[in-house]
Amino acid sequence: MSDTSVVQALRRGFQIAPSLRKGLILTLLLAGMGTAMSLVVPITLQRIVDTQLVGVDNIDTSAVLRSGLVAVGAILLASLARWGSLMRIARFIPAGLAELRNEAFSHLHRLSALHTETNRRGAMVARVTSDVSALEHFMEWAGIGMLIGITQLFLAMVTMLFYDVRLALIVITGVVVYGVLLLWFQRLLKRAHSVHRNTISDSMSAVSESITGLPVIRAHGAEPETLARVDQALDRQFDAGFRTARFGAFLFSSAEIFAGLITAAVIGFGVVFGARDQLTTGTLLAFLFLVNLLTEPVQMIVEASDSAQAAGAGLRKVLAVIDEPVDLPDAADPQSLPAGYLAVEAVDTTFQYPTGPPIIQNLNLTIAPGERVAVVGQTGSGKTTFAKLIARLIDPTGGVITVGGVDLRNVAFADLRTRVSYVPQQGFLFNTSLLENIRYGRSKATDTEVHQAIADLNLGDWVDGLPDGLSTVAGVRGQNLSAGERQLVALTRAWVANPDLLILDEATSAVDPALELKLRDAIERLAQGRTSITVAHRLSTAEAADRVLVFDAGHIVEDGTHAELVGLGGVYASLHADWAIATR
Amino acid sequence: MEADDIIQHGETRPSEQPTGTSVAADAVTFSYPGGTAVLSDLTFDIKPGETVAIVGPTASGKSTMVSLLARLWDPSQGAIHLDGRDLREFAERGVAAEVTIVPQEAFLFNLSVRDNITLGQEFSDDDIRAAADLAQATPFVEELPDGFDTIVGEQGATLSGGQAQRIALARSIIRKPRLLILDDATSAIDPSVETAILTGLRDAELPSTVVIVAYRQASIALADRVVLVNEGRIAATGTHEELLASEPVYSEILTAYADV
Repeated sequence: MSDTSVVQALRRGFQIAPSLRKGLILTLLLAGMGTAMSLVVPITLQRIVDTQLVGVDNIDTSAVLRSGLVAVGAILLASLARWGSLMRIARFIPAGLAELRNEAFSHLHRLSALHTETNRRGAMVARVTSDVSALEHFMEWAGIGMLIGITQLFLAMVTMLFYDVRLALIVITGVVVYGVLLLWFQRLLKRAHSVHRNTISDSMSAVSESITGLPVIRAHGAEPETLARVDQALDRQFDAGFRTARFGAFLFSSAEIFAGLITAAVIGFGVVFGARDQLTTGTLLAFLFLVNLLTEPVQMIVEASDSAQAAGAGLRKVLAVIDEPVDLPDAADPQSLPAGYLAVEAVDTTFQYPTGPPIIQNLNLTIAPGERVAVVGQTGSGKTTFAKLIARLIDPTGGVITVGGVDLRNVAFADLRTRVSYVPQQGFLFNTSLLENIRYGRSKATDTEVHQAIADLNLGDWVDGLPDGLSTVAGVRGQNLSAGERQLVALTRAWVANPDLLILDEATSAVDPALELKLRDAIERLAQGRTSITVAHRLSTAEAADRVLVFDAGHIVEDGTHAELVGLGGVYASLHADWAIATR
Repeated sequence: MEADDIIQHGETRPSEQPTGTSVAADAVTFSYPGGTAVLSDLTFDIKPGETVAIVGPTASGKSTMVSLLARLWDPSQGAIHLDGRDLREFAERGVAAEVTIVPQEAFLFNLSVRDNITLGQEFSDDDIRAAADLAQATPFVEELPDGFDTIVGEQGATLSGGQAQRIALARSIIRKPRLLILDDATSAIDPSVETAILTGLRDAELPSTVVIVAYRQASIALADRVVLVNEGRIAATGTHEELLASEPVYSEILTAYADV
């Protein structure tokens, strides 16, 4: 492969997945040995024909037998060496690919929520699955075939040169012309493959969206349009795939033409040279066998180049994920958080999405340890972003946020996640039991502790009403539960985690009032003995808080107790008036 | 997929009549496969153009009930009729032509705001604007980098929950359904905006019957009538004031806030 970027990509791949390189030299040596042995057959043939058959009166059968035995031995050795190299490939390559997948997967987890939200999930799944599979195909089959092919090509040519320079040059010229054509084609193929892989991730996204969005599509009768969109994506994938396959098919059949032309040339010129310059019959026969040994590797290289292009494109895409700079790096030199309740401070904090307007602007704020703060404001005022910043799901684009006096960027995630709990607006549940889902709050929590948490949050009735109690399986993304129930699970998670700083984002918005009353009582107990910041959807939460922050267009416009802010007659007072009308 | 899972359709063409449809549930029972009954023997009538609020505790069957009205599922027993036509007799996509449902968790596609509203169907810019206005979505959409052409990211990642709900609402309004169902579809929207949306829907005199699953008193009070659901049954129906006076469960649910 002449492409330097492929070499670079391979080097980087080896670095990430050392198993790919482990024992590679021995594997290649074994494969090379197997190849070299295959040359013994035409050489033996030439010797038997020229010394025993043509122009010899009495045939020395024992000499023929000896030569034959040598050839058989060589063939056996060749198979043994090839078997050995294949076994080694079967052992090391899957291990290396697993390393690559793991690294891509764990890197995705190192990236911020921002990154995973703005990139399409279906496309990211393709990175760690189908792109690695393309590599797998190459590494386990095509790559080694290519190396064997090149070795065989080289050895066969050397042997030809040794036998007859003129015939050898004719063959080599053919190979070179074909090689140049091949290189040109490879370039076209590479482009086609890259386009193909992109269309695959596009259609995976389109398909997965149209399945998760099925209720919406059905409810609006938009099946034909959605189907058209998926069809279009699949059509594009098909067109790109077909284009790629067409190149592949052309390459494959052109290899046959090449083999035929060279064989014809060797026979034609061989007969002419034989008649004129005493080219022996054995040599001509050996040449025909050698041409046979040539066509096989050229075909193999051609086929493998197809796979190599796919693997190259796949590897580059996987590496693009792995080499995506971590936008939310773990602290290099972590400072530990102080014991006890955690204070929060924002200094000139600004946040904006890469393509959007600022969401939080020049925020300055101090929250004392143990303080219970409610955050209110219109939707889109920056409340949720503020909560995410404090939980360090995203980093500010300007300014600093400290927790317990430590810049969040200097707190190890391991430390942060045990001390600070974030309950998002829509809790994500995994397709496992509620017990296991709750344990995501603290993996070492015992069954008794989880049951105790349920009791502490006064959710015993609810759990008893579920088909299998805490063993009830939540379903994919928790679909077996209602939105309100998913939030109950998320709250229990936070309770089990027992954090020193609790961040709740509208966690009670989807629970009906009767149940919420129960929950609020539990949340109030949860808020005791820690700093809590609640993005309040209902102003009753704000009424109960020590302090209320009112957000408007990314700024804090009012800051005080409920009573103070109502007295102020500003934004909060009017929100409160709205709410009072709405609920009373 | 087994043959049983494939939805069967009839021949009834959707009505083009520009008025709300009447809704009748006749002894409807529903259970999820292998589960106990979520709804039992539900019978009720909704008059054309009426706005009805469905109220009840969590897991009382409200969402299931409205899902049946949109034929997202079929009743296990009993039937649902729109203007006397059984939902199961409608031709394919016929129900969707008359009924749209806005779910609690808005699902957005990784497309532009415009395409999320039209879902690829033909609508004029004026229609899109009018629907977005009614859903109170226009102000924030206009502040997005490309306005209505802004791509919202997978599952609406770049929008807040309330913004996504408003786009989902516009998606339903633009289709001028004869039955518009809001399944707690404004939960993440501020109360004042919610009230503005519901008042706006009333004032627009849409050619729609409206069924709304709601929690906030202000929203419920805008309904002509309230259906109180408890444990999969209809506990009572009446106006907001009537139920407050006669149903302790109802006032318990609604006044839960006022007590705090």
